[in-house]
Amino acid sequence: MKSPAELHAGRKPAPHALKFALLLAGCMLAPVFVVSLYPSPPGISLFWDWANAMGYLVVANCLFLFVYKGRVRTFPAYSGRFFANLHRDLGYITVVLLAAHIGLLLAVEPLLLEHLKPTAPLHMVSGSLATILMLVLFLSSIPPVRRRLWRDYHVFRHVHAIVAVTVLGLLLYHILVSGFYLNSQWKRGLLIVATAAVMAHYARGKVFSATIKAAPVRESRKYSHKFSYGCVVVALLGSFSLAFLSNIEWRNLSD
Amino acid sequence: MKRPALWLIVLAGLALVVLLLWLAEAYRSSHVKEQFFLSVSFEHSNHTKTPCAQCHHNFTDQTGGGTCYNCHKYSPDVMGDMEKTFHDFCFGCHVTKRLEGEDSGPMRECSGCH
Ligand code: HEC
Ligand code: HEC
Ligand code: HEC
Ligand code: HEC
Repeated sequence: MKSPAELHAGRKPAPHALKFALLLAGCMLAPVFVVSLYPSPPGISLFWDWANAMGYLVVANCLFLFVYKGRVRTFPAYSGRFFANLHRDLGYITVVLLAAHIGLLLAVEPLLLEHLKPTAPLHMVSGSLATILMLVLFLSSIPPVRRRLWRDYHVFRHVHAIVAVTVLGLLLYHILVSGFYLNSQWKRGLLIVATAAVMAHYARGKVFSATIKAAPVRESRKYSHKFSYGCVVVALLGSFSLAFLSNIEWRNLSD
Repeated sequence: MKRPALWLIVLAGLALVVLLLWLAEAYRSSHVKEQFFLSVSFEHSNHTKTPCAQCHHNFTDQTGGGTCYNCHKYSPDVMGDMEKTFHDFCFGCHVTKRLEGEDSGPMRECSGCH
């Protein structure tokens, strides 16, 4: 069987590009879309709902990062560097989305500062803990910092993976127990099943299934920016429209 | 060094979730009494359609007397969950009414009540 890098060598336009872009944008938007299905949570206000939609994009990204964990995969057929870069770019995007989720909510309702206190209800404390740990994941993976903290790259990977699972767990607690948007059994069930599936997929993989190959196709490493930043724009627009729709609907009904 | 299997990593992560939440809850329950009382605007005139005892559960279930906050803010048994109890109770009804297409109060916009 040809390696992904060989498959790709010399080929332009990139194979799988469109399919992969659709997969990425679809995975990001799926939770926001599912959450808005029956029984649709009533809209609070445009920016409030959009801020929370960005929170759901964070969760979707976290799940995606467990599948595209920086290791070579056969789909899309790009070189190893592409996957490492994709994981890094999506990770950065996740941090930015998280900042937007918190920042926008605080701007709309400054009283929410109360929920950042350690005496807030546990589902909010859980969100704050996830935020802190996500910053740890982000800062400790910046190469110069990482090399300072861990001389052995493998130790870094294990710590990074354990903390990442913790972040995911805390995020699930945050959104399941607050239950604002996941307002029915089937929505909660679906989230749990999807997470369990991703975790099972992750746990079945080998720790070092493939080493990162030097990129034979120089340009494929740059694709990761196009995919990740492109898809996040799509996801932001999509979530904004859904937030907009959920607010329109109610205005008409209450007239 | 033998590499740990990935399911061990998942288990370790989950154990850390439980530990962190447990620590957070321990801290929270011992400090929640220091939380100042946030004033709420509640008017009985907006709630005349609801039977008194649906809210004033203590009228019928023998938990005791006094106002809601006497117990829920100051009694050690229930004060830990006061905010969640009242938020779920108040928004819960408002959201249900809204889904049924009826008039209702504020859902989660803080300024509606505080
Ligand atoms: C929707 C829930 C709800 C319903 C229905 C309701 N109450 Fe209340 N009631 C409250 C809340 C909450 C407070 C505390 C408000 C405050 O202190 O600002 C309160 C406070 C009171 C108080 C004041 C206690 C005090 O000493 O300050 C009285 C008396 C009272 N209710 C009687 C009634 C009666 C009688 C009815 C039925 C006609 C009724 N309530 C229906 C929620 C309700
Ligand atoms: C005399 C003390 C007392 C008063 C007054 C009181 N409560 Fe409670 N309340 C309790 C206790 C104790 C519980 C826990 C009961 C249990 O766990 O079964 C409780 C439970 C509740 C719950 C259910 C919590 C849950 O998790 O299911 C709600 C909602 C609630 N109270 C609202 C109110 C409101 C609203 C008022 C005022 C209108 C009020 N209570 C007045 C003592 C009181
Ligand atoms: C059983 C259902 C129910 C519960 C429980 C309930 N509410 Fe309401 N609330 C309503 C309804 C219905 C209205 C709308 C009344 C109207 O507009 O005629 C309303 C209106 C309001 C309003 C006024 C909105 C406005 O436009 O002026 C406020 C404030 C409010 N509720 C606060 C509370 C608080 C605080 C609690 C919890 C202690 C609470 N409600 C519990 C049903 C409920
Ligand atoms: C439907 C009305 C309602 C809305 C909307 C609402 N709250 Fe509350 N909140 C209450 C009630 C009732 C209580 C319990 C009584 C109290 O603490 O004043 C409470 C309690 C709290 C407390 C605990 C205060 C204490 O005394 O320990 C905090 C903090 C709080 N709310 C923050 C918020 C924030 C932040 C928002 C916006 C996201 C919000 N609330 C929206 C009704 C509301």
